[in-house]
Amino acid sequence: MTDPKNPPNLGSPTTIDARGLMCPAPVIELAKAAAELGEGVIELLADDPAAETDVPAWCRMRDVRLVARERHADSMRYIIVV
Amino acid sequence: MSASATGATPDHAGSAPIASNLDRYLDAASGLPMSAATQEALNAGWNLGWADASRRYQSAAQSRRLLDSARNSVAHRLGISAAGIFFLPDFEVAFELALSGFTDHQVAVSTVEDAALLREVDRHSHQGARVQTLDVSPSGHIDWKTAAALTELGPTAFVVQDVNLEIGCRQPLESLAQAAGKDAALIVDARATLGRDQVTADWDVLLSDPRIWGGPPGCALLAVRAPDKFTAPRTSVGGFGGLEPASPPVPLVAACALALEAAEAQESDTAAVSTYLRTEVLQRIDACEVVGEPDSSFITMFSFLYVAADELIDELAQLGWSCASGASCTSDTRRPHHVLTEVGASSHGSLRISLPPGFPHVQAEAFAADLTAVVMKLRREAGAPSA
Repeated sequence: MTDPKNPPNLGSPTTIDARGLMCPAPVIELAKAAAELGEGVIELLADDPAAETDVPAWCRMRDVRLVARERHADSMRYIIVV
Repeated sequence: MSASATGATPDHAGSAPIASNLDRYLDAASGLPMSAATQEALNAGWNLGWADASRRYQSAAQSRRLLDSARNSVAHRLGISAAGIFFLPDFEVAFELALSGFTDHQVAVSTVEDAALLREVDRHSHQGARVQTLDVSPSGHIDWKTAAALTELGPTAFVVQDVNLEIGCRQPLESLAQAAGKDAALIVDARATLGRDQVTADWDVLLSDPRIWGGPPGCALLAVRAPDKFTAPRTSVGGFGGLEPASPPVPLVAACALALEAAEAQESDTAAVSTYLRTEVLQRIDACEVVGEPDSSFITMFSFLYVAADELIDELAQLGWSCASGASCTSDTRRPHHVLTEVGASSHGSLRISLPPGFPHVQAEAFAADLTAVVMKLRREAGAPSA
């Protein structure tokens, strides 16, 4: 968990491009990246509609923060702080 | 029970042991097979109740007697008059009729109702009805105080399942009815309770699907507590006060009533097995949660991270287990079940367990072991991180 008063540098996130992957693959890729990273910021791109439910739920269950959700033309962009 | 037994009585069905093919059946919320006694009643019905009950000859009178007896039986069980019992061809038709009985009410519907009912409410709103949406908590419960306050805007018909068919949560309908008072009408979808659990007491209109209590398909129940105040448009050709089809399927109706008698006579409490199963699964499998009601006795929705529900259901089916899911990969629309979305649950590894009455404890133990092995295997194969 991150101190909300001192957000980490959002400028250099680890990017996971999960576009084209269907559930549960986007969440598995996210979890693998989180485990590898230990601490930091992850940018996840996903176009599976199920990810819109599953990414926030994963963050809640794993007790990490979903700081942004942006709808782009072809996908959603999630910013996660682990 | 001998296959040649004739004369279907509820006692037969009530004492019948659980069919052997049901000891791996965990989808009772989708329906139960008809018992031998119900099938016999259905068969007898084809002989005794084939004639059009609205005619004036002897065989018609026989059909009428079967219908009346079925209505009386169901009415007795619900504590209302037989004039308030209607059998419709399917659940959606029954619900459409239920809504049309409250045209002078605004409709308040929770976001975790059945998708078909939500569609029907939507259609109702396009026809000019005022519709209010009831949001739910992360456990799937409506806020009865907020809901009751809607009656300040005018008479309100609430559309709510007393126990949710997907996530098992029991709604606080007694509190809602009490707080909302006489300006409220409760249209209760009681599919998860009638025939096996305590139905919420304060309904004005109750709907159910007899398949869930072991009745035949092709018949839905609409019960109206005060039929004289129910303003649904009658047709001149329709049977029984103009609400039912002109010629109701007498054998189906008779079998539905008998199956309900049998279901209620049966010991259907699955609370202990349900509790065991939840505790065991949560202990054995990590990165897993129970969605909705934390202590439901009938329906439990699990969610396992890093598991594809279609693979989970198929692997369990290979081992003989029958379960349902709310995940997008198990649906034609490729979207997660709206109930899971509404409560913020992870949908991809969702697994709905609904126990048939009398489900044996030893089978719950076997299932917990198989489920654990299957989840571990699928996670390994998918390269999921160890949680």
